[in-house]
Amino acid sequence: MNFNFSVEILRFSNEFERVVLVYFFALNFTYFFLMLIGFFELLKYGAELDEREDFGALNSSELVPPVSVLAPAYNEAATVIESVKAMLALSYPEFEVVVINDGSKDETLDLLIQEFNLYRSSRPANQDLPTKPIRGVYRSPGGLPLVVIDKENGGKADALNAGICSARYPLVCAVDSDSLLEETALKRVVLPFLRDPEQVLAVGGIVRIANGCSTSGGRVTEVALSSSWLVRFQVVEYLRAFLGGRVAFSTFNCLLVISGAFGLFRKSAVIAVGGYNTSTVGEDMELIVRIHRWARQQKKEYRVVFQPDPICWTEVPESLRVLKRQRNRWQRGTIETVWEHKSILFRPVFGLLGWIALPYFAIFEGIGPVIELIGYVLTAVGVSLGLFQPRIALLFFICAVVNGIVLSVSAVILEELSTKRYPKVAHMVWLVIASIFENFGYRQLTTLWRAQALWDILKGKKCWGVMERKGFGQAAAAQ
Amino acid sequence: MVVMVAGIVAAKSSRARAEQIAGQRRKAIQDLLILGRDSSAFDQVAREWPAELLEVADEALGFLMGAERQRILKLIEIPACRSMLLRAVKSDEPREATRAVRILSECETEDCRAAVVGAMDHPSTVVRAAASKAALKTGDANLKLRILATIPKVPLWERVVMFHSVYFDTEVVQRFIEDALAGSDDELKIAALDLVHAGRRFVSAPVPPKLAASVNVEVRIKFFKALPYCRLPEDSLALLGAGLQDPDWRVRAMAAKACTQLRPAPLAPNLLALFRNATQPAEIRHAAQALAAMGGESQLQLERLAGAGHGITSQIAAEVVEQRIIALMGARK
Repeated sequence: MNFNFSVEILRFSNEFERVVLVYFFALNFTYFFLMLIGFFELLKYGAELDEREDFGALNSSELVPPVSVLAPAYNEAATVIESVKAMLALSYPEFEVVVINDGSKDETLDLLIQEFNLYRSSRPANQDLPTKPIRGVYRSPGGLPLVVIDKENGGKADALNAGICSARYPLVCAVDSDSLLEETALKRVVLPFLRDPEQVLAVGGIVRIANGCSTSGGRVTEVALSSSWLVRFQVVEYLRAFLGGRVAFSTFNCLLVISGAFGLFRKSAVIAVGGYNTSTVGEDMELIVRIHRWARQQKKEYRVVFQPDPICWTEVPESLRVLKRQRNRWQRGTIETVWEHKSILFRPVFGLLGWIALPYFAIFEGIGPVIELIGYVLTAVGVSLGLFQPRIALLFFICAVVNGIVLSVSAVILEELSTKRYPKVAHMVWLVIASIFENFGYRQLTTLWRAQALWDILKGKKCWGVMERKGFGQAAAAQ
Repeated sequence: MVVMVAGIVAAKSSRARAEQIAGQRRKAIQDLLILGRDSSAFDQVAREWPAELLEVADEALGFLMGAERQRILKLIEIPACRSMLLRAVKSDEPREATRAVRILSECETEDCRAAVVGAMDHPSTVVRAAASKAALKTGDANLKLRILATIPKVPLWERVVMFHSVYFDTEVVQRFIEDALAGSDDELKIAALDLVHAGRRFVSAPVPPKLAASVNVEVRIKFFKALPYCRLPEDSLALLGAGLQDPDWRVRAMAAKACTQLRPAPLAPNLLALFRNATQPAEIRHAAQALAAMGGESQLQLERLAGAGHGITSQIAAEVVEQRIIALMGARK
């Protein structure tokens, strides 16, 4: 048998290079397309918004649907009081805050009871969704619209399901108890329900990074950038994801992700699809895909919408260790969701959802990191064995980096053209620099972590991992 | 890429500088509005800084009352300012046109009113909506009735904003409600009932009792929602009684909610029956709240039910009783 190892490697590498090239162009074309759509949609949105009159009318109207804000909390003693105060100070005609203490081992519940002078109430919960047993319900005697549900630990999805069962109002807003909502966030996020009350089933707001910002009384009082490069890279990533991808997917009614940190849902729709899935770590995405699936199977006229201006501020990891855990979990959530709903893929009944949105998540977000990683490894091997010309490999790498930079800088431009939350020129400069530097090391690192997530899924890993919180304002104070 | 980055930085810094200048101009205009008596200075501002003047005047009229407001309106009526507003109302930029519409709606001259009515044909939906709202405040009776008649066609969002602009106690609004409720168009009836509910003001117009028996369930729901704000017909007890036995649980819930406000003591047995037999938590809760609101024997019966079992009915009764006790404790404090 005439087998030449080098020739076979070269042939395989060439074939794989071709796959990578096609993948590379498809990915970048998609990203640019999404960014372009996002650009025009944000411009249109900005032109149509008439702040003073719209929100003034909402403040006093009986017709605005009341909202139950659901905040699951697990060991959130560091931030829960400030977050709940911020939620209670939301500007909205009628709402209640339902904090679900998911069997915290720290003093989360005690702090809430003390701070808000809560008493044990006989308020019942419906049994629309199965949840872990509820140990008690606490309320404020002073008329504060605050309800605290103390239940056995069952994970975030289970806590949210318990919150939905206890929610009194027709719209439920899921927020992270370690996040800060802007005062007008609820009014802004409810707008699609008012514009199209028959069809809108869910609305997502934008999540922004609070590290480095000054906070007071549960509000972000001064927007600034953290001095940590890791945080700056994440700021660029968030801008890219929210202002590009989500705006564009929302335009075509195939938005698949509404962040678990801030999303508003029609309660009846969530109950109809069976609530949050407790067996996945990507419960936020999985719920949205299930809502799409249910609505399309029912042949309903419906919409799942992204709004770019209701803002939720959140703390992001400042250490590689915690970031790795978070990204691993997100990636596992994405892959689990795509796998769970693989029957949607390329089925005409699901329209763009089956032809564009889910394949995008399957190919670019799900297995993309693995393809990218293999590309890096094969190129390195090929160059070291002398199978490729280093010039070609370098050129390809430069193309990838330049493309990454252009996309990230475009996201920063979108931010500047639309929401303009970073007030100083210096912020823009740092974000642009971060857009460049993230391509040298950070991007490759996150690719590696995301690829590892696939391996973890194959091993059957299910855990969430722990997010270490400093508490709002601590990071800024430390700087 | 370098050009792109330089472009962003240059754009950001020029925007920051422009905002700083605009801020200074706004401050100068605010000072002029607060302190200035010199209309020639105002005239000059209208010519040189129209965008900033629009912004400041619009904001000021949003919260100022009384003499201060009148003084600003007087300044706005000087010719240079008025011609600037009349130009701005036709602007392609929706925000600028909307601001101009809002300010012009405060002026009582014919040309200003005509400009507001003209803005109802503006290409931007935002401007058209603002013009409709403004015309609801300042237009003549026929125009107002014409706009109110379009309410069923506008989405809930626009409806909320339009209701916010309605002077509820005017003859036109009362006439609209009366005509709509007496007519045959269900959508118009729903809009009028929404208006009554949103206004939370007593309606002097008589409400036809036949609405409680409408074949359209939405009309029945809205009717019972609005009933506490309506001039009650003589047979209101019979109406509420029928509402508590409606085949649709949403109507029953709204009838029970109306009982919480109207407290019709003779209907206590009906409410108790609804409370015992209802399946939906919303109607159970409204029935319980109505019984609690009536006090006396009704409340005692509710308390007995609260301690009688562990089902959802007993739990809701317990919660309603608990809320009442806590409210009473708060009142005593």
